[in-house]
Amino acid sequence: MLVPTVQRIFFNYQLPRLRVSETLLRQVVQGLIVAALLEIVLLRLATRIGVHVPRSELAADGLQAASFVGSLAFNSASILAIGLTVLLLLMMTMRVRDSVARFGLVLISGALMISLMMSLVTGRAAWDGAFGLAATLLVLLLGVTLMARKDVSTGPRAAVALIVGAYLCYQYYSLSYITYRLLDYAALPPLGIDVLRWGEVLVVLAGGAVFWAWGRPRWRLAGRLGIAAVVGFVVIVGLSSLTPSSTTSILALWTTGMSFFLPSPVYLVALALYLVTVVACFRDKDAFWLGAGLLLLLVAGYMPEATYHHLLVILGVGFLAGAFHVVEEATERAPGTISMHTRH
Amino acid sequence: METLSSSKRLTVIIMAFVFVGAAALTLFDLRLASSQTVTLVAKRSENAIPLDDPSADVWDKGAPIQVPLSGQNTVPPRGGGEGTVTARALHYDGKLYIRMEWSDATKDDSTSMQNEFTDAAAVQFPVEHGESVPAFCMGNPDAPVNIWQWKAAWQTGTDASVLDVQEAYPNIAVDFYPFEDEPEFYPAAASGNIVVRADRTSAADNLLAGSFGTLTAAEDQMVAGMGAWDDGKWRVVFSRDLQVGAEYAQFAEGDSTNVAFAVWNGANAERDGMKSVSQFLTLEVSPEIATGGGGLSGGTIGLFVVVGLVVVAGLATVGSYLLYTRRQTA
Repeated sequence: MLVPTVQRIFFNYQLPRLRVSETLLRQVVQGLIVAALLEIVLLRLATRIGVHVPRSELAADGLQAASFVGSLAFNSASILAIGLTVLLLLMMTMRVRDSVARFGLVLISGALMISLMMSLVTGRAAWDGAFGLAATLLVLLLGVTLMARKDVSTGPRAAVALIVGAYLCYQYYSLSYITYRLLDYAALPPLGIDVLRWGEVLVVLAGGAVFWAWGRPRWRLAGRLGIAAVVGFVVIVGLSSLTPSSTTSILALWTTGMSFFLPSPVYLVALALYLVTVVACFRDKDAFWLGAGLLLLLVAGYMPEATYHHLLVILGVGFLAGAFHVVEEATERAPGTISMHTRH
Repeated sequence: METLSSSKRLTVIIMAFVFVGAAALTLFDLRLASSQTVTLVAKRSENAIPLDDPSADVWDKGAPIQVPLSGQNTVPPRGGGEGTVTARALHYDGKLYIRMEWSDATKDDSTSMQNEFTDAAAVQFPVEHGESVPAFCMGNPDAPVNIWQWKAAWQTGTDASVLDVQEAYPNIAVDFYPFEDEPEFYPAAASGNIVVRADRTSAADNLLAGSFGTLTAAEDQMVAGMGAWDDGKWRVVFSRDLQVGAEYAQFAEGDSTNVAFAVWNGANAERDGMKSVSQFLTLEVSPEIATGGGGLSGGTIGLFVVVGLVVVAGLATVGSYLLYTRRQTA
């Protein structure tokens, strides 16, 4: 009795098609990007610059105000990230026609959202672990989905593989500790730090691969101003390690999660290539989702410190993998539905 | 047919809802996120923890975490570099114990000579734990940090084995020291500089900071610290009461706070800001009893983790492949 019912619900039930306007989706994602960048500048960057500011009352008030607005931006970004993730999962689920794949996706999606809520409410290790595992599976699924597509060339495949690989490395480090904790085992997980270092190598390689995949074909679109801005930023980051000025905080910001065990120029070149690609994608009207995906991944960082950052990784990889693009077919290009043409 | 204006209207409505929700959370000092950093868990020990034996068996019951370190590159003097510290924590009889362990080929525990620098270690906590974590580099003006710092040389000093000038430089020729006993000729000591404190009873100091350049010795020195170097490894234990005055970091069973680590290698002339540092991690003081061990070996558990991830990756791959093939045939 139960089995046929489950089968009917998950395997045979024709899900209603979700129609979401691409314009609306873009605007919401733009809102997320603005909130995420505000959070970085006002919360993360301001706290680092703050230590260099003379300790006057005015400066203290200014930093406090920046911190408040930054917190507001953080919460806004987190709410938007949760909402967009739910939407992404819904769209993917409705798109999938294969019963087994759909069942798996429903399972992972349900696990992700339930564990997210429970982690937020209880903060217990078991829920953190469940959330981390579900997020890992989802990112892996999105990455593999892209790599399995015949219409995707080697460049994007390599870039996404490196990004997903780096995330898996960090998640191995993080989840192995949670697993040991749940098993009440007082030992070090094998290869924890080694895997973490490998992940950092993948992050640096991903900078080059991202440029090769999406930046190289459209780098001219970045324009002189865009390239000058990127070069200027990277030069500031580079010089900041030589000067005692507050710009060092920018370096500290970018290196959060990195142990910097490779030579500094390697990181700078990777960052420059990555940023040029982001700028070029945003200036290409057909590559908005690529730009958005890459930017969200940059904001999330190599070591996602909070649930919000993991959601940014899911969305970022989802955008790169063209997850929303897939939905377009499910909605049969109805008026007002998503129309995304991601160049792969 | 949807128009741009209707889309914008909907976006504005969505954003308004998001803003209201975010504002409500922010006003209550809440963050809609849960920490996903690695957690150092301090469980309750059933046995006393000897401070003078950092390698005591009781530490085998504390779950270790391996923390990556990187060079301090934010403010001069920069220094340190890549490394790893293994940390364990326990609590017993109202005291918190934290043990740091790291590799160091040389034991540098003397600063008797001008070109000698000491090995050292430190743990850092936010004074007030809340939603906002201070900058891991010495905190913020409005969010200070409490630092416990141990120095090998201080331990040597407390062992009363520190070398005097004549011992460090046996062939030195000095005609005479004028006003040898006058405090004016010992300005560092006279000004209360913690580095030259003569009344030290512990090799660990209790410090407070609210950004770079503000490191200050706390009025209350209640942190105990002891280290031992053996076979290329330092093991250092810090200890303090869980609950102390409000101006310092507080700990309680069931509560969590943040913790960061720093290590100085004297052989590399590291001192002050020249150090290897970690990011903030989570420290949880658990009411559970530390039992340690377990029925499975570390290798077996590791194998389970690896195999688990491989199985999961395989399942995801199969699922994706099914999705892909289904799409191709559709």
